[in-house]
Amino acid sequence: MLIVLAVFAVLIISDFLRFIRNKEPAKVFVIYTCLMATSLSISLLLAAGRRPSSPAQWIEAVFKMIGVLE
Amino acid sequence: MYGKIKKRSGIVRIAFLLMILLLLTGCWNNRDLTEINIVAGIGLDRTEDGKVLLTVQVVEPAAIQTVSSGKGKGGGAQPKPVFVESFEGETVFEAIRGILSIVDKRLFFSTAQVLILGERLLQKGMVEVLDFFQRENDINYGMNILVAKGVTPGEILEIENDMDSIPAVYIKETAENTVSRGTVKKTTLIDLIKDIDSGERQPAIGQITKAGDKEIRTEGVAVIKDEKLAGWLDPYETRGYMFAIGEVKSAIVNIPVDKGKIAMEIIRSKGKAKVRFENGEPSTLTIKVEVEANVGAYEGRGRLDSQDDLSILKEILKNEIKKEITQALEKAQKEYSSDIFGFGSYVHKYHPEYWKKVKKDWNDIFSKLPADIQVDVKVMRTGIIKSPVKKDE
Amino acid sequence: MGKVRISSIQLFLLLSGFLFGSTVILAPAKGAKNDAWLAILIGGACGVLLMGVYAAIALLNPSKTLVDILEEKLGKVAGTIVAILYVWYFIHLASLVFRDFGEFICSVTFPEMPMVVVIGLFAAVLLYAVNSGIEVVGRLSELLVPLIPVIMLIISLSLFTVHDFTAFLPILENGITPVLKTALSFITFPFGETVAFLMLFPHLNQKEKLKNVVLISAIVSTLMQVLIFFRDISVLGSGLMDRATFIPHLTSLIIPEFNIEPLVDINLLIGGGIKISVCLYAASRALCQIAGINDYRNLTGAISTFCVVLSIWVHESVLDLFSWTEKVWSYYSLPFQVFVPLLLLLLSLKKSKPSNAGTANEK
Repeated sequence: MLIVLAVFAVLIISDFLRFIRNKEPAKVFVIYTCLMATSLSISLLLAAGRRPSSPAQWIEAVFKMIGVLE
Repeated sequence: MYGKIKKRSGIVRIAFLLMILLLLTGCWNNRDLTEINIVAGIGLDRTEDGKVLLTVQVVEPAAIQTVSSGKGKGGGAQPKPVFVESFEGETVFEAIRGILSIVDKRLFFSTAQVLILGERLLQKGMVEVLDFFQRENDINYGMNILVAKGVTPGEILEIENDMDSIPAVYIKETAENTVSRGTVKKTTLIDLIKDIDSGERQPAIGQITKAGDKEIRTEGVAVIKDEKLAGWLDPYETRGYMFAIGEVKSAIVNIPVDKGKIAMEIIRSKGKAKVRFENGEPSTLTIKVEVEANVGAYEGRGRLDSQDDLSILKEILKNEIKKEITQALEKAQKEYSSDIFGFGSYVHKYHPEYWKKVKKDWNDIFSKLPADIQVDVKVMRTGIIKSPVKKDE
Repeated sequence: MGKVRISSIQLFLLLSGFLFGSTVILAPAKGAKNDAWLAILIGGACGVLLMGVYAAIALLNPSKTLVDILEEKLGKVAGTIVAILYVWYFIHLASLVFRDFGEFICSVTFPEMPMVVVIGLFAAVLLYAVNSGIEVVGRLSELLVPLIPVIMLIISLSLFTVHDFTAFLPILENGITPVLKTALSFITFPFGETVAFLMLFPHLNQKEKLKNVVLISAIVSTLMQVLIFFRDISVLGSGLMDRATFIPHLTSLIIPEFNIEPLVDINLLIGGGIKISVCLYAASRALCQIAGINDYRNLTGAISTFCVVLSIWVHESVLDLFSWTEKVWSYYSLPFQVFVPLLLLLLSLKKSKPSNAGTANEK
């Protein structure tokens, strides 16, 4: 758990420093934060041993609903 | 500003390089040679109550060094180059981990040269215990497999031999020198797995017996049927079987002649087992063997200087090989009803429709089919001399 | 960004490396057992056509990336939505390759190393490569991809003595249906996945060679796959081949006398590495284009982090991964790999007749 947080902290801080230095527009920050927040929350859940149902399962469920798969 | 960034990136670079050092150590859990037990031979058997009995022969690298360098110096008890331990377990893997209660370091299996199966194990079926050896990632698929006849694998692995400081290597070498005698089948793990998997050919595994306190003998094969031991072939039958499946590389076949015996040296041999079909049903098993031989030794009083003499030899040799093949085939058909020759594989490949119908009963069908054995012999050379010493003339 | 150029030989090697990708460990057509070679040939033929479609789209819309084409042909809103779906698809693809790679390394090479460490380290290297620019990845492929056939040759030649050349018989034992099914999945994996190259094609410096490059690489990799199949089945036999987790790796274990199993790892590192870098590049480039961000490097870090997390999250176990890719992957890929590209091709053909000069709005 702590390792996950540390890794993410290093990644986010180093990238943010670069963004600020290069004066990137705000949308970079927004998209970046969205992606990183998703990754962080999922990895925290995984690290805590509560694996949420994954996109692969959603996709399979959708195909089953349409009837492509049985 | 620029200089500051440059300075900072320099520090980052050094930190990065230092971090790489951590990765250069290699694997996650690296183990040095001194932290593992190098397994040379494995024995598998069942105990009377059906548990797996694992025996391992482990090499002591340090002791080997003293054996090879300290010979002749005398004095002091020399450490043994190997030790042998056995352990029981419900499953193979349990036994492998459980053995650590009496063995100090973890076992390392990549180096295993031989896997010896016990008779009692084969009476109950061997497929279950072989799964571990397929699944584990550091097992050598080219490991030799042998079946111990009349002894337990543990007794075989416990022999101490002067020829090689590691008995398992000695065992493996004797099994592999079948290339110059053809009397035992060298069976590797992958061969065995393929035979079991295909269901088209019953496995035949090389046989090992104890020949004394210090020696073992690898001769003959164990015939398996439906994953269980069906019986044995003697060395000559084994050679006939090896001729039929085209595995003989070189062998010495004795042939009787008027005034003595000739040892013929087979130098090349090809064999093919097929099934002849008539009206969609198999009619005959055909075995076609092509042999090239030289006169190796003439232990008698005859003449050997014309093509006619060689032609006679050819006929006799042909019949001799045919006899061995017939014996092997008859034993496989009549006694064991087990298609170790791989006729089934031919049927599956070239007559898939028929195979689908008879897959289950193929061994029975095989046992009832007549055989047509053709042996084609070429005798090319007689060696450095032609005729043997003449005495009575 | 407009000055980024890769040569036709680099594109050829990138495509070949991409097509080998995880197929160097997964033997894609194994569903058809003994007849997999037939499935590979049929699938390969269709794959060549499909890649021809991608090349045609790129030629009809010169110097435009997939996102540009989508927005132009489908309209701003629909185009953006489809483009976002493509970004997701590339990310998913990259994470699946990551997972294949991780499972392989954890199954056979470093069984006790946590998979996330394997994948994370690999991702760090690839992130560095992608951030250096697609030309660097192209030059890297010049250096590394030629190793793949060399390694395959080494493995095949060392196995020559243990071959059983009739092992692929009988032909069509179970009828043609499984063959066709497998052929379909072989089109989607790996050929259809080259749809990611629609983000790269505009970088090619010699446009006239695009078609040849694409076709030759597809044909070469089909033939290589057939060869690999024959090698594997003649060494393993169909029974063991059916049970093996990683077929080419098991084949390399059979080599008598010496152990060159790590060469398979190297092949996977090269092929998988190129596949992932292309996907990462395509995904971040596409996302930046949609959002109107100038430099795709801004998002590569976030996207590769997400890929790593997704690769761990997406499947529970190795068997889940395999059964899912076998069952769902082809259907899931069809819209991305076949339907949308075909639609784009039709629209491009229709629109290209009146005015051939599409304004290049590449950044």
